Amino acid sequence: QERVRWQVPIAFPSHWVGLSTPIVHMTETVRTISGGNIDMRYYEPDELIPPFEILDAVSEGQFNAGFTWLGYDQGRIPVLPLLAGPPFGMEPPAFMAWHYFGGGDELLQEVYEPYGVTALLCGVIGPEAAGWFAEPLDSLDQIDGLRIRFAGIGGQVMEKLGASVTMLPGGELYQAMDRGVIDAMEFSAPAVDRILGVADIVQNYILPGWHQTYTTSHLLINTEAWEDLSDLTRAQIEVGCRSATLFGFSESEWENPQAMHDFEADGVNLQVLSPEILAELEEVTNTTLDEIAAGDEMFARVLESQREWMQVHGVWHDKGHLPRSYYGGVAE
Amino acid sequence: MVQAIVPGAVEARQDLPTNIISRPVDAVIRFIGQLAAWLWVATIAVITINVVDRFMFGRGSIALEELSWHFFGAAMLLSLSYAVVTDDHVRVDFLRERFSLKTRAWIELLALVLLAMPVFWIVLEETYSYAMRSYVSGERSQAPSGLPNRFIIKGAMPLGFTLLMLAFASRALRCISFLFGFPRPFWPHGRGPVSDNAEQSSGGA
Amino acid sequence: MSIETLMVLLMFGSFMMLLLAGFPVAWSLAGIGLLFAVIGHVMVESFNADIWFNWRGSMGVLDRRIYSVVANELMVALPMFIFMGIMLDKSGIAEKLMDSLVRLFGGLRGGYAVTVVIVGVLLAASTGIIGASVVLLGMLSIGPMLKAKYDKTLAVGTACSVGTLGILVPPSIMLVLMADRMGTPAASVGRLFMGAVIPGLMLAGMYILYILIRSYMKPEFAPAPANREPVDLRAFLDVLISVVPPLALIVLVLGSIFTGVATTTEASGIGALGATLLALLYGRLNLTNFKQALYQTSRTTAFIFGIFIGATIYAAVLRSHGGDDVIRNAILGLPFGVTGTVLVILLVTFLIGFFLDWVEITLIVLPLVAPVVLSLGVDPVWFAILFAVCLQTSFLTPPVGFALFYIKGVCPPGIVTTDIYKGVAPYIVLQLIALLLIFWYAPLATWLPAEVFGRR
Ligand code: NA
Ligand code: NA
Repeated sequence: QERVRWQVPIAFPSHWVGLSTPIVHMTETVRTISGGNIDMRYYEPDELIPPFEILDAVSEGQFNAGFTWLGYDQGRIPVLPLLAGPPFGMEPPAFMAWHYFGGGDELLQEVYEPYGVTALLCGVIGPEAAGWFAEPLDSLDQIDGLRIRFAGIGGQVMEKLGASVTMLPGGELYQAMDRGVIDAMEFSAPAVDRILGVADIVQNYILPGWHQTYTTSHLLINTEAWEDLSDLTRAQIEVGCRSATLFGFSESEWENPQAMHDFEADGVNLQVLSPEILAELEEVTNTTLDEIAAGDEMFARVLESQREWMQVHGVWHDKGHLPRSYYGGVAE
Repeated sequence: MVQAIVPGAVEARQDLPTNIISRPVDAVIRFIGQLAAWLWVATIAVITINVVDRFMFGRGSIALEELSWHFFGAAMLLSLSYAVVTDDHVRVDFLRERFSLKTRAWIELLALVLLAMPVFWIVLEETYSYAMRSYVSGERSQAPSGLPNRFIIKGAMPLGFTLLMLAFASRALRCISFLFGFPRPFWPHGRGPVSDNAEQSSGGA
Repeated sequence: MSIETLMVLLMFGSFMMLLLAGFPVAWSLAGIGLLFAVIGHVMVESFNADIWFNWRGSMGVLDRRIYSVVANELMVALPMFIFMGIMLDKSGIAEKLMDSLVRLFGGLRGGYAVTVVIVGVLLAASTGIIGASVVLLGMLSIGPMLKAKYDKTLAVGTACSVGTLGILVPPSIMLVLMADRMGTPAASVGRLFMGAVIPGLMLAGMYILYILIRSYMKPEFAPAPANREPVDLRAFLDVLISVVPPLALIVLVLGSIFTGVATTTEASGIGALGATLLALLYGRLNLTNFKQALYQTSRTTAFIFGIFIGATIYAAVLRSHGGDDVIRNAILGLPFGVTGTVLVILLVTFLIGFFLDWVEITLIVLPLVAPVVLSLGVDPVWFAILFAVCLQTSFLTPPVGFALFYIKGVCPPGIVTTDIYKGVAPYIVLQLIALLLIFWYAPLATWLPAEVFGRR
C-alpha cells in the first residue's frame, strides 16, 4: 500500500471529550488498519497554526487535512452554523440520518467545493449546556442587560433579547467570570466544561443547550490530495472517520452525565430553563434563522432541507420514543 | 568600582554612517512610524469607551473590542521598521562590544542579505496573498456583530513587512557605504569612525 | 543519533552563534528558521529524505502564524502597560514614588531594590503577561537605582527577575494555558491561580532576603541613601502625599480588575489613560513629551513583537523538523519512579527553557506529560506549579530568556548583556531553591487551593 504521511492540525486540545477525542481515535484506527502505512499525525491547536485558520490552510494545500469545528468559518460561510450545530436543531441521531441519507453530506460537499476541500463527518456529540450563570435564570427579563460570552447564532438571539454579548478570548474568560466582568458564559457540553473547572467559581449551570442541539467535528481534506490517494487509502480514512463518529458520540454520552453528577457533588445548581423561556428563545431563534436565510442562498437551502427532515422525523421523534422522564424520574 | 553610565555616549559614535539613499528612506520610515504611533491614542480611547459603555450603560460591543486589537496590530506592524531605523531591536552584545565596527558591519551585512531579507521576503509574499484572499472572499469577523473587512488589518501585515524590507535594505546599504566607501558615507558627527581606543577611553566620562 | 536530533541540535547551535555575533534576536530567530527550512527543503526535494519536514507546512503557514500574533486581544495590554510606564517615568511620578518609599525604608541598605520587589509583586498581581511587568519595572527602577549608586548588575538583575513574577502570580495567562492543557478539573484555572500565590510570595520573600543579606555583607553593592533625612512625622506625611497619586493609579488599575469593571486588557488601557492624566495634573505633560512617549511605546512594542514574530518562524521550522519528537523522546520512556519522572520532566523543561519560550514548551510538553503524571497519582496542582516555576525561570536563562531581551531593550545604553547575565544569575539560583522547596514540601502549592475550593 502507498505510504501516506500527513500533518493534521486540530481545533481543540486533543483531550476534549467528543470534540477532539475522535481525531485521536481516527488516526490510531487508520494507522492500524493500514498496517502503519497511513501516518496521520495530529497537532494540538496553535502548534502548527491557530484553530481559526484550518479551512484556509487546507484549502491552500499547506496541510492536506485538518480537524475542526466548522463554525469557526461562519464569518465568511454563513451556512456553517447549520452544519456545525444550530440552535433548536436536530438531535444527533436525526442529524446523522439527515447527513448520511437525507442529502446532508451532498450539501456539505457543495458548501466546500468552491474551496477545493472535501469534508468528512468525523464526530457528533449531543447538546451543549446553555452555560454558566452568576445568578439563576428565572425570567427572560434577566437576559436584558446580561453581560454574556456567547458564540454563534445563539449569541445573536441573546443580543435580540437585550443581552450584551462579548467574545472574550479564552485566556480572559475564567478571570472575567470570576471577577464579574461578565455575568454568564456559554462554553460546551458538561464533559468539556468540567475540564475548564468553572464550577469552582460559578454555581449555576443552566440547561438544556437550546443554542446547539448537536455539535459536529469534521476532517477537512484538500480535494487534490484526496483524489491523489488510492481507493484503498480513501476507504480506510472514511472508515476511520465513521468509527470516530461512533466513538466520540458514545464517549461523550458516557462522560456527560458523570460530569453533571460531579457538578452536583460540588454544589452546583443544575437549572433547567422553564418552558416559557424556551418557547421565547425558539421564537426569536426562528426569526433570526429566517433573517439569515433571506440574505444567504445556501443557508436558505440547508435550512429548508433540515426543516423538511425535522417535519418528517418529528412523528417518530414525538410518538416513537418514550417521554424523557421514563428512566424513573431522574430528570424532574 | 562602580562605573558611571553615560547614556548613548559610546553607541552614538559607533553607529554606521548613512548615505544618499539611506537617509531619505530612513526619514520616510521614521515619519510613518511616528505617524502610526498616534494609533496608541486611538487604542486607549477605544478601550476607555468600551469599559465605560459596558460598566455604566450595560452595553457591550464586540466591534469595539475588536477595534482595540486592530489598532494595536496596525501600530505594532508599522513600527517594526521604525525600530530598525532607530536600532532598537535587542541584541546580545557581550561579544559584539569587543568587535571592531568593521567586523560588526560585515556580520550585519551578511546576516541581513543572506538571512533576514530573504525570510521576510517570503513572509511579505505570504502575508500579501493572505490579505488578498481575505479581500476577495469578503471575510468578516466570526462574531455576528463584529467588524467587517478583515482585509484591512490583514493588509497591514504586507504593508508593515514592505517597510521592514526597506529598512533592512537601507541598513545593509549603510554597511556597504562603510565597508566599501560607496555610496559615499555620511558620518553622523561629521568625522570618520571612532577608533576602538578612543571608544574605550571615552567610556568613563 | 537520529536525523531529527541532529537537526534540532544544529538549529539551537547556529542560532546561538548568530545571536552571539550580535545580530538582533528577532532577525536571528527568523533567519535561522529560514536557513533550516532551506536545508530541510533540499533534503526532501533533492535527496528524498524520509523526514517530516514540509515547506508548505512550515514556511507556507507563516502568514497565519504571524496573523495570530497580531489578532490577539490579550496582547493589547502590552503596549498599554508600556505607555503607562513611560508616562509615569516622564512625569517624574515614578521617581518620586520610589524616592518616597525609600525614605520610609530609611537607612536600610538595599532599600531601593527591596522597594522594587514590592512594587513588582503589586504589578505581577495586575498583569498576566511578562513583557509588561519586566519593561515597566525596568523603565521605572533601573535609572533611580543607578543614581543611588547601586551595583548595576543588582539593579538590572532585580528589575528583570522581579518582572518575571508577573507570569507566576495570578492573573497569569501562562496558568490559564496550563490549566487548559492539563485537562483536569483538579488543576482548574482557579486552583492553579491559588496554587501560585504562596510560591509567588515566597519567591518575592527570597529575593528580598537575598538583597538584604548581600547588601549587608557588601555595603558598596547597595548603599544606603547618603544624606537621608530622619523619618519624623513630617517626612512621613511628605511621603504619604507624594505616594497618593501614583498609588491611586495602581489602585485604579488593580481595582478595576478585582472589582470586575474591566478585564486585564481593559485595565491596561485605563492605566495608560490614568498615567497621562496624572502627568497632566503634575504639569509635566506637553506635546513634545507626549509625542516622545508615543514614539517610545512604538519602538519598545516593536522590538518585543519582532521577537515574537521571529520566534514563531523559528518554532514553525523546528517543529517541522521533528523538534517535538526529540523533546518527547527525551521525556518519555523514563525508567524512574514517580519522583524520578517528575524530576526528569522538570529538568528537561528547564533545559529546553534555554532555547524555547514558554508557549512552545507548554504546547509541546504539557499534553504529553500530563496524562503520564496524572496516571502516576501525582497531585496535579503540585506538578503544575513546579512546571510553572520552571517556565518562569526559563525567562531568565540565556540565551533565549525573553525577560533578558525585554530588560535589554529598556536598559540605559551603558549596561551590556554580560551585566544582565551576571545580574540574574543569583536569582536563577534562588528560583532553583524555590523549586526544590516546593518539590520537597508540596503544601506550599497545594494547601491554598484546597482551602479555597475544597479537596478533590
Ligand atoms: Na500576574
Ligand atoms: Na530561557
